[in-house]
Amino acid sequence: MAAALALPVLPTPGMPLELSDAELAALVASRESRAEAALFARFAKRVELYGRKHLGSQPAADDLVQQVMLIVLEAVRAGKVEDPSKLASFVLGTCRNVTWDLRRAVGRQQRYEREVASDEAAVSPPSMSERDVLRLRNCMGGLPEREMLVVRMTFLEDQTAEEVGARLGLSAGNVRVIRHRALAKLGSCLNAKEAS
Amino acid sequence: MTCPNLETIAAWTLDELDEGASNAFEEHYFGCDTCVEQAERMRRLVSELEATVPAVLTQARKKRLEATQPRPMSVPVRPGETATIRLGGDAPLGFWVMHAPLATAKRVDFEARDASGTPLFAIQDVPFDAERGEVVLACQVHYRNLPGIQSMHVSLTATDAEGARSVGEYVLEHQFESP
Repeated sequence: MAAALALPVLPTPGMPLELSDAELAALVASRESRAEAALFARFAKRVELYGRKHLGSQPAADDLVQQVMLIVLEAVRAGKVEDPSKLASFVLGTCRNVTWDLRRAVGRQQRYEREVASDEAAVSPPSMSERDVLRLRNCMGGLPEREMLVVRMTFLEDQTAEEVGARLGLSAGNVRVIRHRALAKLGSCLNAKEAS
Repeated sequence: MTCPNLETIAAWTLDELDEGASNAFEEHYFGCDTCVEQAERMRRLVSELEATVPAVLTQARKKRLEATQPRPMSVPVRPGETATIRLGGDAPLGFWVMHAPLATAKRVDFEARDASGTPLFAIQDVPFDAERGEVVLACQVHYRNLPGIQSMHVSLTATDAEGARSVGEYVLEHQFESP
């Protein structure tokens, strides 16, 4: 139980937070307001990532963060998390449940938008900075030719793995594997450029 | 589960991991700062790739970009012609619509040189519209610093059942407003 733990001392603002999930949960249950902010900081980004992947848009992911973190905070405050050392699993489980509800709501909203929106509705222009474009282009230039082609056809020409495979004489599964490898190399290249 | 490699994180980001592996990664990253950071970086990379305007556009991508504001200008150009596009200010993006006889083409290659004939860049197997006879080249205001861009000499080569042949030479003049 959270109440059985000796309450740890929160670090001063700006210091790295190295409390375990159980320690953090105990502080939240004791109504330490900085602990609530710390709990939000620890999990909000994880929930947002989950939302971007499973709900497909930033506004939907933002909704997910708000709903999940509210449920989690209320549960932790009330001491309703059975095993505080598994707080991460509790947050993920909440994420999955709320995502299921939001998906149904998003489906309804998309059907409504399709009915009322025109195909010509304005969309946002590309928003990458010149520096980002050059950084990405340099890293793409370092890919082996086949990986570069797969990246180009996938992301710049909007082709499915099946279509790319048909053009390059590969199976769709092979295209996906090459694509994952290429993204990993691009990711490493961008990480290295950012660090230098 | 130990931290997976970047390829697995890429597969998860693209929703191309099987359900079991996807669930396992999610269980892991919810408790792993390193993997959260890597997954966030991968998501940003995919977003950046999707937001990148390629040099040569499919018709679908051109149509999507035409829905952005301000609406990009399209400049048609036929083989042997010289044309000018002006970019800058409220015109950050424009399209060259290069016309060419492409009805039988199976593949089109693109090559750009500067006014002295020095190669600038080449792209093989570019998207094209055989029915309309069009290859669409995008030009963005941040290309202004590329050497040779002011007067770019473009050639298109089409390959069909009878082999490769030149189908058009174009001189594309770019004028950029000062940033």
